Amino acid sequence: MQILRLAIKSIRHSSFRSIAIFIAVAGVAGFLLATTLVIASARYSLDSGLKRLGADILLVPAGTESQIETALLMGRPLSRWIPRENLQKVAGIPGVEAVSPQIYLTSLWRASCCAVPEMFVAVYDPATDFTITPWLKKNLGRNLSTGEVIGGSNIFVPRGSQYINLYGNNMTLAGKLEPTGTGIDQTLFLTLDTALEMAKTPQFKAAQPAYAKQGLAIEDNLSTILVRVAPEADTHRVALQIHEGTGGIVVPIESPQLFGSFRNQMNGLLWGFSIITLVVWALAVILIAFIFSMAANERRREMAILRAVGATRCFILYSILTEAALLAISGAVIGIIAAASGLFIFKDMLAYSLKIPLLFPSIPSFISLFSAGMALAIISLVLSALLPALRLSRQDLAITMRE
Amino acid sequence: MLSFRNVTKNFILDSATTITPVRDVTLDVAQGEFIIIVGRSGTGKTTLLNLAAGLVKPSSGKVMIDDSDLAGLSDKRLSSLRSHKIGFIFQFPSLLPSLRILDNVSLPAIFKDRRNGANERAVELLSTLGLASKIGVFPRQLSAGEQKRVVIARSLINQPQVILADEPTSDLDTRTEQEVMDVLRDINSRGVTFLLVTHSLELIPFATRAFEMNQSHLNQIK
Repeated sequence: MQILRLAIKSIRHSSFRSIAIFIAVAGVAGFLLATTLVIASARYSLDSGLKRLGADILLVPAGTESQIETALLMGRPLSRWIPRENLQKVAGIPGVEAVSPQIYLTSLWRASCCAVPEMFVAVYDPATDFTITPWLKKNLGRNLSTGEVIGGSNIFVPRGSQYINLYGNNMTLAGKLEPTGTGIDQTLFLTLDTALEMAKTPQFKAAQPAYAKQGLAIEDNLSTILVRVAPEADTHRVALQIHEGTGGIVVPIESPQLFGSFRNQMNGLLWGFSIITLVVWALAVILIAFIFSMAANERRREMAILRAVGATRCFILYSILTEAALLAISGAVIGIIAAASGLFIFKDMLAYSLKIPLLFPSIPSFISLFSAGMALAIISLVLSALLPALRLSRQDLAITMRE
Repeated sequence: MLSFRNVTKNFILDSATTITPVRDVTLDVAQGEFIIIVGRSGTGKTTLLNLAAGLVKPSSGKVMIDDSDLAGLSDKRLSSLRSHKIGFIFQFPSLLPSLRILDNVSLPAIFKDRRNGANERAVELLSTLGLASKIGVFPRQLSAGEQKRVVIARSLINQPQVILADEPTSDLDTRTEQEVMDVLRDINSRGVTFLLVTHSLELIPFATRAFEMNQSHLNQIK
């Protein structure tokens, strides 16, 4: 208790030194947490998105393998379609338990119903769907009727209206899915019946020139086919059989490989961040050790006086380390809170500008990150202060007093 | 209560140079004495005080306080002995700049586990020394004479048996010097032993016994 009081008074007295150390610790802890949180949020977001899809294999039109990640993560439509007859072919392949098509329509820019700049429209078939339908049964206890839609977490009914207007059709928002941090959060899910009604309007035809010009019927041109593999079947083998069975028209992407390029990009980012963080951390430790060393030189006589009036070597050591720990705790808490608050406030802007999905991890994960950041800050600072503190506690009192 | 038995202290500066500020000193100080050791600068007076406080160990001989050989004590026991039995008045400004005067004076009490009532004792001592109005200020706000008196108050907080005073009146004007010596004599009259080193021969009248430190040896002059 006395050590704590002395440490606090010393910190307050040496305000410039204390502020310099505080800022260094806050900066490093904040930077560390921010980078870790961005990476963790992106990974958590990808995992949540995959869980929401609920498919073992995703079939996409050949040549759009790279587009599908963007489509799902950022809510962008694909430029090609899968002819509907492939649905039956895939369903007949051994090991395939269920198949369900989805059709991605164009994005809507600055839609009045969205918390984000773009809204994505996805059409599903309730007869075969295993992505949205289980959620509907659990949360609404029924399927959607024509004219009803389900939205991602960023979709809302515009103020002053009861409906979301889509290509001249008034849609009722029946419910909202849990956030995933991916394009699913800004996606409006319609049943095929609702989509067919919507497709009759002149507004839709004007907005979807590809359909209008080529005379395509939306129900016959699928964006993806979601495949669930039977529990006893080998997913990879089934994927190969699908590729062969459809003559290469569709490309199967196994669930763990989905977002693969994005994960690689994230891993690259993680390495980059890790190296930068390590360098910043090492520089901060050296800087703080240097500051403590200078402080130790300044305070040699002060510590010698303490020893002469009865302080033990341990008391001197602990009082210096307590100062370091106090600065570490206060700096790390402020740095981490500032970084977390900044990320929380600018999360959507960051996700949009970096083009990465972000979903903050759960509270326990966040507490773990917070604790790890705190522990690292305390250990680093105590290590930085240890040598100067040991030197002070073991100094030759007679020589110091003569200086 | 304090005794030096054939004490010699060498400082090895390098392989070719050794200095011996204290050579074969024997001195017994009884409880309640006021011993003054005079001598020119560099004659080993401060080293003798440091030996008495256990801040340095003798190269040969023994320094004892109440039959305890200081050289044989662990750091913990030596620290305990300093906080229980010894008060220190340093030659140089020795107040902690981060602490207010009250906290500076009560500081040694935390090493003696006598924190309870330490502030009250500190206020009482500061009042006795005429510093009651300064308890809330920092050392830099005091004059040299006031700082010296604060150091004296600090040396008394744990009611020590012996006070080791290193040039307690250096850098003080004649009037302040007289005030400080009056305070020390008053404390001595209550049974506290003093071992005071100074270069000022004018302080000798305050001593019960006085010695001159010359060429590392101690010679009684009073």
